[in-house]
Amino acid sequence: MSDSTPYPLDLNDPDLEVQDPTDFPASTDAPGMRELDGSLRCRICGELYTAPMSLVCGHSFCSLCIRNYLTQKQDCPSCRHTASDVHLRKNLTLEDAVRAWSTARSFVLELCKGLGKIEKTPGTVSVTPRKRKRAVNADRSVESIVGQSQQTQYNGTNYPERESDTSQVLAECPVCHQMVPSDSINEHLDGCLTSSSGGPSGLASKLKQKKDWADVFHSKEPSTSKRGKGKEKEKAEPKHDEPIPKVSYHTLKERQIREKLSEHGLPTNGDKDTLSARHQRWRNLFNANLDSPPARRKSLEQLQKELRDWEKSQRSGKTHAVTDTKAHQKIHKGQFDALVEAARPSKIRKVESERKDETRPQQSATKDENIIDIDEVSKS
Amino acid sequence: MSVRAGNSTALRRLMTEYRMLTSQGAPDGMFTAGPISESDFFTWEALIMGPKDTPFEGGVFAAKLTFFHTTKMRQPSDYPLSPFKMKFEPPLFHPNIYPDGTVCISILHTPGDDPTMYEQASERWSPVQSVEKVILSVISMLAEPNLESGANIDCCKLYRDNKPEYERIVRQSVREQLGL
Repeated sequence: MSDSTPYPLDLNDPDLEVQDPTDFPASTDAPGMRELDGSLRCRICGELYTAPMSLVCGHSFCSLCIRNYLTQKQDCPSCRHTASDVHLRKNLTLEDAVRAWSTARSFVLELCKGLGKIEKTPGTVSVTPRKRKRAVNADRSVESIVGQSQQTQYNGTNYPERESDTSQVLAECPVCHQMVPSDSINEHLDGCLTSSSGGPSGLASKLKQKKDWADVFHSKEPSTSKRGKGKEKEKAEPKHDEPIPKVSYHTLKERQIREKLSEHGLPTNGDKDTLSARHQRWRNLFNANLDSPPARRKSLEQLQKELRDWEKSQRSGKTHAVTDTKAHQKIHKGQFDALVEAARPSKIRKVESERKDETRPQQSATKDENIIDIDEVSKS
Repeated sequence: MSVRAGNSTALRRLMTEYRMLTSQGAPDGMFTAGPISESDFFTWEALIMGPKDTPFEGGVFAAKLTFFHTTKMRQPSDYPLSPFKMKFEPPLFHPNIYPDGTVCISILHTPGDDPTMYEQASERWSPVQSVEKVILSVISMLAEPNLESGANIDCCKLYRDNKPEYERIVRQSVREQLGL
């Protein structure tokens, strides 16, 4: 049995400090504030959006939250509309709103609290110096918003192009029949072709097929053809600014998944399921990180640490070793005593039976011993 | 927002839900819920008032909510991706509550597993559900049992064939719980 508190919590840990819409007064005192704060929160993690992504149905979630969810189930958590991670779209407008709100939140919160005071005390003179302070803050936040909007414009010009790149040109992989964005079909096909063990003729036809597919896509997107060829050659060198394409782990051999992991400098120990889960999680972490604006992205080292933490938490239940044996004995003294108590009668019986042995024939003595053995096994 | 790996997501989300439940309160004060101790946020207790105009009226029922992994003991689940488990302690006599007290309700089943084969994917667990919404569903389940997906077959039969007797048993158990 494990300790009574297997996950000791430090409630003062800043990582465990959470905010929620009920920080704001109810709608009678501050109409719409709880709703406003709530509407800027991801409904999976309950926090202000980090890299919000929209699904086809129009619902938005944090990039990492929805990617981890879609790994399990391909629909919208809110309305169950079919969804897939290749259809995820950045919601830049929402991201700007969230960023502005996270700056303004504490300011507005204090305003809301002050509101009640002002109404109660007619003299508002004491509020003026505070207000001036706020004004400086407000100016600063306005600046940052302006800065953001410039960035948005820059992104805005890029955005529609990227959309047409990935969302409209979805292609079915001829080998595994998965839907894959066209600009990553080559890499995906390479994976599929090398893993499927067809005969020599099959391989030839597949190679031809692969060439045909490549031709189809290159003719459609002449601008990307060069990039595509380059990608194939530089395959060993991972790109840090391009999302990791979808992988169908069941078509890959263990060794191939290991190679994929080592491309990203990740550990390659464990069985196939562990390797696949690790790569899948890494893909979610990595791609979600790319959905944040460059300035807010985490370093690869940080992502790798998050992957390690995740794996640790996956394992934590399996291996629970007793470190402090004395404390363990103290906590479970009752159980130990009960076991000792339960074992005592059989010990006495054993002693008695040994005494009787002297008079009894040998056979029955061995029988008795057997019974004792079973007793002890079931108790331990 | 800094930590997102491992079970800290679960922990932060549970913290948020607990905060909202304590500051907002349940609708009509129908229930309360929170961690049993501050050192273990993955085990909660809920106290639910018996809904009005049902045989459960007047009773207060305790249920344990556990946010642990199904197969690996004492390992926090990946809540809210996976649902929690709910068990009435002591058990309630109800068609949709197993004799050991475990609640069988579609909102607590992931779309993958379907013990009764009757449930629609749309009523299943999803990470946008919450402790509050599940308990509200359980309260409406107390008022209106779902005989299509029974968990306590004897209770289902009794409810179907002799509803007055079912109501009598429930009322009696409520009185016993209150020590009357």
